[in-house]
Amino acid sequence: MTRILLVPLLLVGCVRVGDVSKGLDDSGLDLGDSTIEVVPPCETCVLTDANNYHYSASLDVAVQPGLAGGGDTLLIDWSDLTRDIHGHVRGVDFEIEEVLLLVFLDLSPEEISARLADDDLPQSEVSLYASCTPTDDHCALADFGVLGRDVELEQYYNEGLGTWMALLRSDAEAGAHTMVYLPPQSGGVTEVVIDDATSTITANVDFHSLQPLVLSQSTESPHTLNWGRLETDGIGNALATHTLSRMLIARYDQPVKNLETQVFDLETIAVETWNVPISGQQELNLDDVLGENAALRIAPDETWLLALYCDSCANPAPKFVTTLQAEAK
Amino acid sequence: MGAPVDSAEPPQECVELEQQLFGLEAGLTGVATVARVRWSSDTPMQTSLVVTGWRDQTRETPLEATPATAHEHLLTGLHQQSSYTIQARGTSPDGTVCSAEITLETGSLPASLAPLSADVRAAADDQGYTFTHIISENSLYAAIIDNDGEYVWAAKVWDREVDGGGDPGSHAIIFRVMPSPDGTGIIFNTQGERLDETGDLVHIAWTGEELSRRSFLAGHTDFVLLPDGGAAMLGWTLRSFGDRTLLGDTIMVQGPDGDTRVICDAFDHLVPDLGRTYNTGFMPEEGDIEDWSHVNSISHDAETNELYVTITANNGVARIDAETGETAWILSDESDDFDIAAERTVHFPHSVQRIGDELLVFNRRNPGDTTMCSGAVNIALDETARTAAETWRWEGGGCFHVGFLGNAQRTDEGNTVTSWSHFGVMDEVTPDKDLVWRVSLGIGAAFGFSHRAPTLAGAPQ
Repeated sequence: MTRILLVPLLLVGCVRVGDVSKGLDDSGLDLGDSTIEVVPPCETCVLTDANNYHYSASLDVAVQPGLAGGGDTLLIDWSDLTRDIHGHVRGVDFEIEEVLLLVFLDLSPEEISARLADDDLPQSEVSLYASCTPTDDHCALADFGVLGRDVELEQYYNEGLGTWMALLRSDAEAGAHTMVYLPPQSGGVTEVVIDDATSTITANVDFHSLQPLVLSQSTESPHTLNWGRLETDGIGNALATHTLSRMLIARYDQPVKNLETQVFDLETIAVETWNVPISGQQELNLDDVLGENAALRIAPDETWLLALYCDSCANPAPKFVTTLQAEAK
Repeated sequence: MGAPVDSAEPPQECVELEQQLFGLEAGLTGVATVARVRWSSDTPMQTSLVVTGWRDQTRETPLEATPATAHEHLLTGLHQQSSYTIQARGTSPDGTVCSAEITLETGSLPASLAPLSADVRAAADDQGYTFTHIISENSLYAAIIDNDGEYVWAAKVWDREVDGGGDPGSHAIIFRVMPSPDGTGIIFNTQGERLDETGDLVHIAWTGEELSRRSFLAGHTDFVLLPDGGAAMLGWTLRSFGDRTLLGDTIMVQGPDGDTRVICDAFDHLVPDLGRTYNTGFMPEEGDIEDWSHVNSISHDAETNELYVTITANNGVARIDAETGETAWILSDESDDFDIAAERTVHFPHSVQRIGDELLVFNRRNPGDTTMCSGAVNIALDETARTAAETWRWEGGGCFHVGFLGNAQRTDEGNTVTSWSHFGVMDEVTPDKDLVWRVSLGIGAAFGFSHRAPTLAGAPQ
């Protein structure tokens, strides 16, 4: 069966099913050699890696050497912090609920940042993993423990003993709020001050080269969506689909190109959102989420994204994002 | 363990389908990788299930113990998000009779269960199941990982959102997970955080429900199940020396009837060095108490009914009569019981297993001394001549400095399974140190003790 498809926003013009067409993005820019294979609209929809976006990032994290051997007095202070690593302003009630201290014996700060950005840092690289539950905007090195127990961490804070990194966390947001390297050095400071410039992340996101998910207008059967066959995430790393905990479906009043600079805000910038817990599932009925016929809700001039999140993962970027469209009538 | 059924030895051909064996159906339970399978036979019959799935492997459950017409089996050992075909088979005077085949799709385990990456070099039909717990900032799971490096079972036992904030250590930290002897599920231990709290052995069914719980007052860290149906667990004890209070350890033995007795108290066997200050903060709500003996693992030798424990205070291993609590010897640089070939043969130990005339010990080493690597070591003992010497060591192919937990276990095949704890790595190596199996966790997750079992009750073999 051949249908003429109108794929709004992503492609300009009409293409035929099975065509491999040179694409233009919504701003009319030529996408170069990238090609998009158009697939039929679906009722029983199975997400594949071709539907997924591409994500890469770079981390810029300050290095503030702490005074080697001065672990008894070393203080990590974030009272000047007003924004997180993504630039989000801290609300009045926002609190840092946990500070993690990681020690890497064999990696430099540059290597750690690169591997964190690539989501490619295994636990085996972490020689020590301790935490502090602060009661104010600071933690002393002596406040850190392992599983609630004092490990006298300060006695190990000596020059040459690895790369030390502090990550500030809050239950209010996924991933790290901010982070800093504090390698022990002679001549280092006794108070590591974390402020808004201490860490930043720059994400490069491509939502326009992906293969969109096109929902059939048919009402013969419900629109089901299965994500169990996904193999890689947006970075290109292997994806354990059981870790996907939440599906976000969102409608936007701006072109998809604009969303590429706001990957960490896909929920807050949307006009309308549906958040669906999906832990323990591989499939759901989209009509149950969006209405009796999910495709009817999606207007041709609107931008829709479908994102899958792993809320327990270190990287808060969605593991999967695709554009959601309805079959042209 | 029955021999694996592979393509070279297919199950017997069915002489008929769906006549004498019929009505096969399967449904997932509260754990997405465990299915309840039911079927019927027209006459009492001992049957089994032939299961084909992961990489087209075909395996078969053991034959039922008794003939029946209504059959039910809790099918375990399955991978999540996988498709399996299942067929019931039995033997009648006509030959092998079979049910129709059905397809089972397993579900997804919870999203907060940390993903595994695996390096598996074992043969495809090499079965084995590693019981452990998965520690992360927001959850604790009891879990089983098979020799394919895949989860086959997991149950959440602590959740920050549900059970409250703070560290897992201040709530329900678990350390060791083992199969329950009756084949109905797993048993894990929690620990008391104060002397008036209990450390519990919690029995969880394959389907995820808690079946029972037995308690040890002030129990902590490690336990061992005893052949008589009882269990032994480590316990806390305190003793004051002037204005100082030292935290010591006991060994408690609980009989099958639930009666618990302390058979051994560290203060009765070891003398604290009061010229030294021990670490504080180990009992979080009693900040000034000094952590002295730090006994941190226990195992049992069924041949002699003796317990073995590891002791940090003297870098030692003790052999103790499980009935009387009498200490036969302590292997330590600080004890005269053995002439040890090299110093630090036992050094910050965290597990011990008796194997013939040898001990397998996991030495953490001093975590602050990065010149020494944690590792599993074989120690040859001559209990007549009272000599001991290291004969083998495995340090993970690199150099880990394990700071808490960590253990090693010798398998029936002679391989060594080691948990590198907070490094998020478990591995299995041959005596020649060839890697057979290795699983790793991403950043932010860690393993507890590991316990390898050759088979899994309910799983096809």
